[in-house]
Amino acid sequence: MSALPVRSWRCSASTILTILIAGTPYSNQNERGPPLTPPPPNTSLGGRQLTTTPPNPYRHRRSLKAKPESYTTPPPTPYTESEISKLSEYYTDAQLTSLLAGESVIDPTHFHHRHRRPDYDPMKLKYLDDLSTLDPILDTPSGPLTYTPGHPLQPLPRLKDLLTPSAANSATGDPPWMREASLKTGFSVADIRRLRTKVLVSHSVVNQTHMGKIRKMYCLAVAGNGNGLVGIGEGKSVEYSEAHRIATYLAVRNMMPVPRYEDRTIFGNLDIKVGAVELKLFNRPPGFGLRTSQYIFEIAKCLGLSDLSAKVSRSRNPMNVCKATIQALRSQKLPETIARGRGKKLVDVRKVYYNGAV
Amino acid sequence: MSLVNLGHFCSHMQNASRARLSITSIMSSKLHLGIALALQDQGFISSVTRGDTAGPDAEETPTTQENISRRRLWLSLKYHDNEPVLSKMKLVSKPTKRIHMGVQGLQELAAGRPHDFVRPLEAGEIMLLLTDRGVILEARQAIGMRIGGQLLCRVR
Repeated sequence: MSALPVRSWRCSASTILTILIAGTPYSNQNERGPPLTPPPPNTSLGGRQLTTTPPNPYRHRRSLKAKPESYTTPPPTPYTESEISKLSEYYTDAQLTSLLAGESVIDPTHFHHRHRRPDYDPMKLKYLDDLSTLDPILDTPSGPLTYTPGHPLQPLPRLKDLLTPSAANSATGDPPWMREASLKTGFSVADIRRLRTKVLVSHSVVNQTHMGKIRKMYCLAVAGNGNGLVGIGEGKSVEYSEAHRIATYLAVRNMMPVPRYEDRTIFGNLDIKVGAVELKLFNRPPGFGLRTSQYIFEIAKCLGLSDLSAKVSRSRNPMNVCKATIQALRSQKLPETIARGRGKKLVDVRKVYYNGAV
Repeated sequence: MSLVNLGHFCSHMQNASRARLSITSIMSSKLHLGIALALQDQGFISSVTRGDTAGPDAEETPTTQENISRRRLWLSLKYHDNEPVLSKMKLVSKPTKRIHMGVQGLQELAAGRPHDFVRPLEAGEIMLLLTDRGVILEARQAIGMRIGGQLLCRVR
């Protein structure tokens, strides 16, 4: 999809001289730069320390930053005869020729020195630690703690579960709307309990009849499992609680799968007009967050998006914005569909060429 | 080299796609032929045929002074999964404002960043440009050949 960027070395004469004097770029990276572990205490003065403050291991932060693999490892060399003969044990001749032809198209030095564009996101939090792995001490354990009965740390039963007689028989303890939704959708009642639901819009509506003004409460709710399913539902009743119930029930019933790119954002940018609402949804890089207005934020949370940006112009009516968001999310065009329609192969450069680093 | 007629071409393709036509005709000109062939190359239309106002030619007909006013280009549209393959086609350079771009600008667009007030290319979107080599290229082809040109239209 994206073009391969090519760097152009436009140097003046002075810079060329300095490069020649200093040596080729990226040559001495193995010798340069201190190791990443904090340095040992200074005992060169017979073991006497002049300060009680421990040395800050991050004081050489800029030089401690990990160099990309391409700086520390040598560039790849063409395959030798023995390597090709080993490959031919696993691939047929036709596969091997096409593989080698494909690899020969890419410039090896450029591929070796590929790097990502620096982040100019001002909202990005600057962490010193690499948070990609869990620290065994500092990070709380992930996932629910399950203890066998008899373990000293097992969870105690809640008092209200013991007091109500219907706790033993879980079938009668469920709200009827959950049981109804379970029958209609095929999810178990436990799954429906675990769904994330929220009432986004609620106000009173009035109908003028021959009997006078009949005032009802209107609710719009969103329901989702946080992992690819989301739906909205509207409910109207004289009582607010009834309207809330109807809206949540219909939202659960109307849940539909919505495709997500890498399970965190949408495929491409969307620009649709639903009624008077002109909605723009933007695909965003990982770690961006949900920077949208409140209604789109809740719908994205229920769906399980983590990176999204939105712009609502013209009408901002809450009810119509919710409906427009759901319609927009369901109208996403997948790259696979585009590729099939055009008869072309669409490649995600981010994954294939940059290995997910960009 | 008329951008006015190219604008009509773009609108007509969008309208024809919305109306789910299988085959449609446009004015026969060198620019239109170049654009049509580029669209076919990229997979947005399936065939390009010379023809009359009545329909595509059954056999090859030379363009003469007598029949030139009736000559048209016939393009067959593609549909997949109940959706048109060519849904949007829009001019970038307008008759009042021509937009030219070099290789670096085209690289920015292809990488998904705006450049010189031109919106970046979305997934599955192409940009056709007129180059001084005399051939209409897609943006990524032009980047590969290290040439820029006048941006004509964007198609998705």
